[in-house]
Amino acid sequence: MFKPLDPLLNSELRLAIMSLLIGVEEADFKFLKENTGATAGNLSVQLKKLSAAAYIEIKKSFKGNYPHTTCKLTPKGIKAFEKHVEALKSYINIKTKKDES
Amino acid sequence: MRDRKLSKEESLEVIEEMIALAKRKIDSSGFHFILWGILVIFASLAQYALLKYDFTEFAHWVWFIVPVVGLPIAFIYERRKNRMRGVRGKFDRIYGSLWLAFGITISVAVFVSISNQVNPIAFILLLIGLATFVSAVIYQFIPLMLGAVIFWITALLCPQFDNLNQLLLNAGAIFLGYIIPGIILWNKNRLSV
Repeated sequence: MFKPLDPLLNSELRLAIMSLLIGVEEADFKFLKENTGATAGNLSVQLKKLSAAAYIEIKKSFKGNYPHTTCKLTPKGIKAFEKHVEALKSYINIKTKKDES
Repeated sequence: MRDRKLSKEESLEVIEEMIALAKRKIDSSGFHFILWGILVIFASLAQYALLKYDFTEFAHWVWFIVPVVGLPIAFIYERRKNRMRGVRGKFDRIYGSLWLAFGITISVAVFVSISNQVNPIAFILLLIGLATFVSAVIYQFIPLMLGAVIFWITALLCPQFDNLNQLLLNAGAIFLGYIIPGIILWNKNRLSV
């Protein structure tokens, strides 16, 4: 039986953001931009979408004179990510079994 | 990276790639092992030289150099690193708490030992071994784990030596258990940047 995929995590950039955040306590905007290779504008839009779904928490502060944005996965986001990975695995497993038979 | 839809296989590839990237960024640089290692070796050898040439009254004061020089450098380094790195790993808080607890415990242990006129070196080595072992497990770094074993063995050997030579033993153990793994970590980190 196929498990449903999370439409919000079916985009490359949003999935990359979630995957980066799952392995750390928190990360800032610059770190996410450098590691995803996304433009600042696109990254900002996708972060807002994840935040609106309460998958991530965005904290805005100041470092010296510069604005500083940090992002962190919420418990809801962790659960959604784990469910999405499980669903992906179920698709791949079924596909592999079909290919073998 | 764009906002495009992914196939299932591509999704798993992105997840694997990003998790590996984040993991690489939270490795230890080895800086603290080198910094504290150099300071402890310096203090051990300085106290050894002062005791050897009969400056016994002031000899133990050289140990104050370790926190007075080490703490500000460590603090500045951490601040700069966090600013540049932009990420805080899941183990960072545990790691920081471990070494903070170690610092407090070792300060109390040294104070109590000196008050009781007991040489603290063996106890210091045991505590260093404990904190180093946990750090090695966090960073999954075998040379540091061997370092912890060296500290425990050296602590066991301490009663076989007089107080003066225990200082040389301490310097040797710190070199093998801190400086060498620290340099390996430092080089590993530089190559992966």
